[in-house]
Amino acid sequence: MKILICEDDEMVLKMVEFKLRKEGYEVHLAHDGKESAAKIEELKPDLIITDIMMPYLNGLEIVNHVRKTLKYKTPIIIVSSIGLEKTVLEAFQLGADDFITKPFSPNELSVRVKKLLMKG
Amino acid sequence: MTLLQIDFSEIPHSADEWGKLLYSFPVHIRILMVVILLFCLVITILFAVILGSRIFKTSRSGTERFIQKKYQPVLTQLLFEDDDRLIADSFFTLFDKKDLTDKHRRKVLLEELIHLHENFTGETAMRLELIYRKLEFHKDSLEKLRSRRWYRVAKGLRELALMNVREATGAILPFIKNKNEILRMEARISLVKLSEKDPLFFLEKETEPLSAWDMANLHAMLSKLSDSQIPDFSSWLNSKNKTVVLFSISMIGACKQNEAIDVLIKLLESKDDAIKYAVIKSLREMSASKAEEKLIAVYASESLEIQHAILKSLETIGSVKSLSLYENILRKPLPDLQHALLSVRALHSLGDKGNKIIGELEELNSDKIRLIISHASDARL
Amino acid sequence: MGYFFYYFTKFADHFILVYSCLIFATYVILSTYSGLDIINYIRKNSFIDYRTILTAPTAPSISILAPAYNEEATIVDNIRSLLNIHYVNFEVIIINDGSKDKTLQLMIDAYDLEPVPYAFDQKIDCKPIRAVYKSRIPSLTKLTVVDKVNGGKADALNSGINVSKYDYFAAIDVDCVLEYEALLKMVKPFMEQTEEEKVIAVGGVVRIANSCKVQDGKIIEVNLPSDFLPRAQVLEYIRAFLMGRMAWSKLNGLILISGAFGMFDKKIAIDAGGYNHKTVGEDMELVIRMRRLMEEQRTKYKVVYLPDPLCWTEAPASYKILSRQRNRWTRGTAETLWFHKNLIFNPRYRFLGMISMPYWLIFEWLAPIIESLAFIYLIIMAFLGILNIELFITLFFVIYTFSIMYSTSAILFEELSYHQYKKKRDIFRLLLTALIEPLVIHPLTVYYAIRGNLDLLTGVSSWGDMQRKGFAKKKV
Repeated sequence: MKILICEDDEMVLKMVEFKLRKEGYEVHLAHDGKESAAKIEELKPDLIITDIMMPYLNGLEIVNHVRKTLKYKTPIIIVSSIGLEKTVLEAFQLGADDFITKPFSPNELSVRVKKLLMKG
Repeated sequence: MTLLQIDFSEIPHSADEWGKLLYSFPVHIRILMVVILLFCLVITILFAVILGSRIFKTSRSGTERFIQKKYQPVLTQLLFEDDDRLIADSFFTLFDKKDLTDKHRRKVLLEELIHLHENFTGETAMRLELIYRKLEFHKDSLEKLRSRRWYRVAKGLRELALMNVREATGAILPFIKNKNEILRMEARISLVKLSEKDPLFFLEKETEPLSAWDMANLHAMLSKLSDSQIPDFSSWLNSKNKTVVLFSISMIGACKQNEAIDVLIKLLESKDDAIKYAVIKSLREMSASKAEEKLIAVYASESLEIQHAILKSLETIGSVKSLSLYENILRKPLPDLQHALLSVRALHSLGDKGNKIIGELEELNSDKIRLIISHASDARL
Repeated sequence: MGYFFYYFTKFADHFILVYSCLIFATYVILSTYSGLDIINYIRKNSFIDYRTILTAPTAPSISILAPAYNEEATIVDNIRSLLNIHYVNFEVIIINDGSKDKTLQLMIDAYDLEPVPYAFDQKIDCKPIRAVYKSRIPSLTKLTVVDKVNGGKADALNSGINVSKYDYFAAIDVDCVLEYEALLKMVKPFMEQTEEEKVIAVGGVVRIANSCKVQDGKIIEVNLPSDFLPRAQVLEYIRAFLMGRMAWSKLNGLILISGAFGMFDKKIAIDAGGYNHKTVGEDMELVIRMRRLMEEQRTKYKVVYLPDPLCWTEAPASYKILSRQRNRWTRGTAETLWFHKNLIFNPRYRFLGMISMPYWLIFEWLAPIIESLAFIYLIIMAFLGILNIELFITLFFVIYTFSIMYSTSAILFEELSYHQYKKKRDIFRLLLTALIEPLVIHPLTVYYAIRGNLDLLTGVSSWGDMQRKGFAKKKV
């Protein structure tokens, strides 16, 4: 199973990568929105984990890009330090499957990843 | 006298001759010459400082990158491997002694732990706290509290709170009376996280006004506590400190403390617009449909801003009881634009009955109403 | 006649001396104040987490207003960068001020815009709005584009205020590149205000982006400009922003927030009447009018300035464009001072009337005029053969070394606070620039300022369109 993680904080990115690798997933990384959009098309991951505030393209635009432009049904988990109800709602309306607020528990994240991948 | 007369043979060759030349000038020129020399000296010193700082900073940031790179895999393993490395004796072999004793390297490592803790919760955060303790960083943080520089103390407070160093409470308490106002608030904020019970014990006697920034920090700290630790905010609604009341009202809304709805509705009788505004906003966040009648009743006598807030709340909590209110607003010859827009939105949210009224209004021969209706019907605006 | 001439030269000599000493003294005092304030600011924010604002229910909502006139080279990238700014409750309003190029069409195509019905109150007068556009793309709800009849920057900003939804607005030049945390940092002073003291506006430091690597509206590498002219302006900007305005903010006497980047309390800006489209110095004029209003209402208030490098802009790279820019600045200052002349030395306006306004009159507006008069005076004296050459040369070196010293301290400020230029070589290049700048650039800026004043008197208004190379052309 291929997972793409988009996050502009290098340290957090590496940590999450390690955690998910250990769970046996094939993990790919993107450091900004543009790289992420390119990798989504190129790699066709089975699941996308994305931050909202990232350079060039933000996470919400990526969700929209995946759902509306590419028309992929790939499950998307948003991990963001913005926890306001309005933003969470907006993310779901655009087609995100899950929303986790930072600070987050990597264990929790991997449980949700598993759940979403099983559904698909 | 001609403009410039330079006779090169006159240029002095020895210090003595220079001195003579200098004294041949009138006194004010001599003073100015000294000033020039002084300026040149200052320029040289400034430049030396700049260069020194540049060299120092370059080497510092080199060390920073080096330490980060070196310990990133170590930390990853400590945080996510299921073995007992974290509690084994071999734990310390993972770290070079020099990195733990050198002041700057230690600082970089601490910053790294802090940074990770800001991003993670759950078991990972607990492991970070364990590493922090084992490397005795809590002593570094406590040391900061003894610093004469207030901002270092503040940093120490933040670290202790983040890393859950509960035994630091005693050392922090005196700071809530510190003469520096920022430090006073930082101490309160850190105690929210560290107090065993009563995280907001200080609110009762709080005499200083809380700014929106203070409230944001208190809110951020409170959101790190478990639900059972969140206090009942209605107990501060009678505080003499208006900002404490405002904070409590907004927290009641944010934490959805529905038991307090009745008390909040009573507060609508307050004479203070800021309080009413906060109450109406919180009622909206709690979807307190109970408040609808009261909101409709007070509407007419309120200021434009409060009316605006009421309409916004009614959009989420209102029922058919509010229909006539909206209709009245929209049928006025010159409705307030913002009120009109909100009324149309509220009517939309009421389904058929609301849409029927909108339909009737569209029949009216008013371009303005039609524009308002189509504006309000566009969810993007 | 002889006596008169004698006394005149005595007076002129002394006047020049006293005036220069005064300028020196104010520079020293202001930069000391600035230094202290920057240290204080850095300390105060050394331990906090700006992300707190992202989750705070009490964080204000902000409307970003960016007027665009003939910006086809950069507009698409610039909007992208504004949309990605780190903030939650905000909207981006781009005001197309009747551009003659393809600015509007490019925006429509890139962001899939469509005209929408938009009802708004005309709270401030502005030229008619042709249409308001929103994007069909659901993730771009924050973007609004206003298309209006051309009326100048002030007018465009006023229409932006009319259309905006939120209580605070940030006015920015659309071709600026903002740091992602810009809004978080700018909003903090507003969140710290108390009932006793209102914060009416917050300004930010503007830095020069020439030679920096910019990709899709984001600075990815800060470089010292490779050309001399923009490099000299780097020094000028550091001096003006880090050493000048910070001090005025500390003294609470700041009257200029750069039009490139500032945030305002909307209600107060509207009460003050919005931007004045009769001057090219609308940015300074608004701050003065807002301050004036607060003084007249006897409300305690503050105008805050932040030293962080939050906003990057392309500085004029040719003498022709520099001359237009300085010409416009001078006219703006002169017009603004003229509009508010009854404030100057008016004790009713306390610090604003007694210190800030007179300072601008005497040391900002008048300085180039006095400098050039003094220069002419010296030439005449030399011509008549009665110039005291020893005094002249020593005085020249006093002034020259002082300005180098001042620039060097500015470089030190920058080095100790934000050290944006990280290469060791940059320090030497900056110092070299400091050596040459007073001899080359300074006389030129004085000349441009004089021209500006003359243009104002004769009514020539060459609308200094700033031609920019555009960031996009310098892609990495």
